[in-house]
Amino acid sequence: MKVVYKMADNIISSLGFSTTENMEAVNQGRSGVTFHANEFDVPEPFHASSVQFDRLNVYFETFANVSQYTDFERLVISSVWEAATHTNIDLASPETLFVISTTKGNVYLLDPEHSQEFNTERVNLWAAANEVVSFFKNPNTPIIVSQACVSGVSAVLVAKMYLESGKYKRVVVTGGDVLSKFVVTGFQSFKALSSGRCKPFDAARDGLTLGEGAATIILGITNENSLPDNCITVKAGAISNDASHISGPSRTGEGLYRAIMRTLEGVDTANLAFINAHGTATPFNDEMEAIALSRACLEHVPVNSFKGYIGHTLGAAGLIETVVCSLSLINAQLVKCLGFVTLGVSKNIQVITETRRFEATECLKMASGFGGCNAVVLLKKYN
Amino acid sequence: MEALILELKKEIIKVLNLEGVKPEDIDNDMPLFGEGLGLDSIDALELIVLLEKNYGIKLDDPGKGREIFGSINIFAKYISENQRK
Amino acid sequence: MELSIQKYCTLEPRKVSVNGHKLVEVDVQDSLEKSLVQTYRVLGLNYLKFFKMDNLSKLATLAAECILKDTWLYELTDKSNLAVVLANASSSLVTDANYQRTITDPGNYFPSPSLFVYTLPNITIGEICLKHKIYGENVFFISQKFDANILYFYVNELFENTNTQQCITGWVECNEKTYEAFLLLVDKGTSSNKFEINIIDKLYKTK
Repeated sequence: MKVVYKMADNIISSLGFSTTENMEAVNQGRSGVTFHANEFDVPEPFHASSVQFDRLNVYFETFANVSQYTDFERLVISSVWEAATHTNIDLASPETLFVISTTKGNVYLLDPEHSQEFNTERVNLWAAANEVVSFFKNPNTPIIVSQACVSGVSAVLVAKMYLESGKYKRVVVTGGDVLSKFVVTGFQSFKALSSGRCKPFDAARDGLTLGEGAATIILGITNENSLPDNCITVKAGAISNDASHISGPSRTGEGLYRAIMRTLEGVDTANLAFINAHGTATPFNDEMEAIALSRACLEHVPVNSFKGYIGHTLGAAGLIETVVCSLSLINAQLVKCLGFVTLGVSKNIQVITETRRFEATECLKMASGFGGCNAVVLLKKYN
Repeated sequence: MEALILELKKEIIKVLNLEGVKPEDIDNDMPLFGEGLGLDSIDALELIVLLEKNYGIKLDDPGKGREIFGSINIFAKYISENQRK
Repeated sequence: MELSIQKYCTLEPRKVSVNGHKLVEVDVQDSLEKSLVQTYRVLGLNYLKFFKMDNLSKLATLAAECILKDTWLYELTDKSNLAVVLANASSSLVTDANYQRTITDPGNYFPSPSLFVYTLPNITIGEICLKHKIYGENVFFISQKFDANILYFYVNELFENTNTQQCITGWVECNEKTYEAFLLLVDKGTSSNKFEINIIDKLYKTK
């Protein structure tokens, strides 16, 4: 039986420029969230997790010309570049497809402060995606998934379908989002931002903390008995809609519950080591996820959110967090839910408060977003 | 107060794109949220913007909004007591 | 798996067509928004939320209405096997620019939440699912121009590998100059139009 598996990965976030750097910080309980005042010309200060672009540009300049690319493009290209150093796949091969996930790409180019930096077309997501694939000389039209905060998980599921169809041998799933006046002020207008670092599932949670970053997951497909040792496979997944409100989550967790149930069809949940929630720490999101988990009879499974470490990285979130989930499975070690102290949702979910080892080999990664969308993916470690 | 109430109704209709609703359709004591006019959470956020843009009143806690936007009368009273423009 | 196009519709500023036949003609208006509102009136819709939407979601809502109306799906209260797979080139750029205008001038700085919520292309899917109670798979793709290959591939995969029994798929594009929607209703039944790339392209080009 053919199985989709992870060949290589990368994370770029406030915590570092590789998966190793990021996981080191996570294991030490470090957060990349900091206070920002007078940044991006935004009048109201905010907390966010931002990438050190000075350092990124130095890295980028070692293989490309910084001035030819936007911040978003440099972030994604750097992520793919670094991921590719861990494998010998040919990114330029017609058998390699790029699937790119982002919510706002180069939207900051709409700002008159930046609109002269590149031609007007560059603000389009397809133009940014073309820069990425052209850089790697890949001949295939990239598949661009733009679906709010579920873009990342959706991109993984789209990639899985392309691999299982036999159309491509490898898929580079990559994506990112950058902080900008556009994004920060938008969330501020929603009064959705936290007053400090976010507190997922906590009784005192008061909003989400924005973040920026990129991640890459290079996926391949092979026979089950040919899988490399200790590798992570993408077993199943589903995307569903709440059909209830375009910005607020369903009070019954309808879409997420259905996506969970479709993903877990025929799966023995006793093998779930943990569930990584979307866990943005808004009052409504976390409550919704708890309700969905309860409806799916998964209250007993350890659950966490990674948003306390790196904020909510929007189009990168599903990808970054899937990589962290995969490392957590490989290391057989739970990741603490940073920012959580006291349970603040109506269901008795088991939020992870200490790292400990486990033996189970599967996990669920969940995501929810504006537009009522919800996406879930099931990962499994093969020994 | 009459003039403020009429102006407020016109602004709410415009800013929230309430198609087919005229000022005379909005009863001064009718709940604006839930039943009554049926406004939702995004409308509440836009009313917070309206408060600041038209009347110079800054409201940082959206929770307080639900009280202030209870009805046209409550809303108008709040504005006349706190207006800065 | 053999799939068929049960119905298709196209919307442009002056007309709406269903299965290749003109359904209604819309008088010239001096803005795209007015064209969309006039189309809403000519189609006889009664859905007040329409007036809160941006142009892209207005377009998607009208197109979904045209594709579902008079089908057995329209009255179904829980469409959990109906997938929605849409694509466009401009994402939500028109609304993005409108939102940007609310934050550009420091002297007139009033970020608008009701505009910001529409600065994501998949809100179109959210509006469609909300109105028609659709809980199936949903994805929004971006491509530089209409690409039947992407939709053909993904929709087939959904039917093969998920609970999908029907699918609304197509192109919903809105930019500063014009708008166009081209939607297909796909299922496993038979029809004169098979769900194949050359047929999808033919129907798109002859709209």
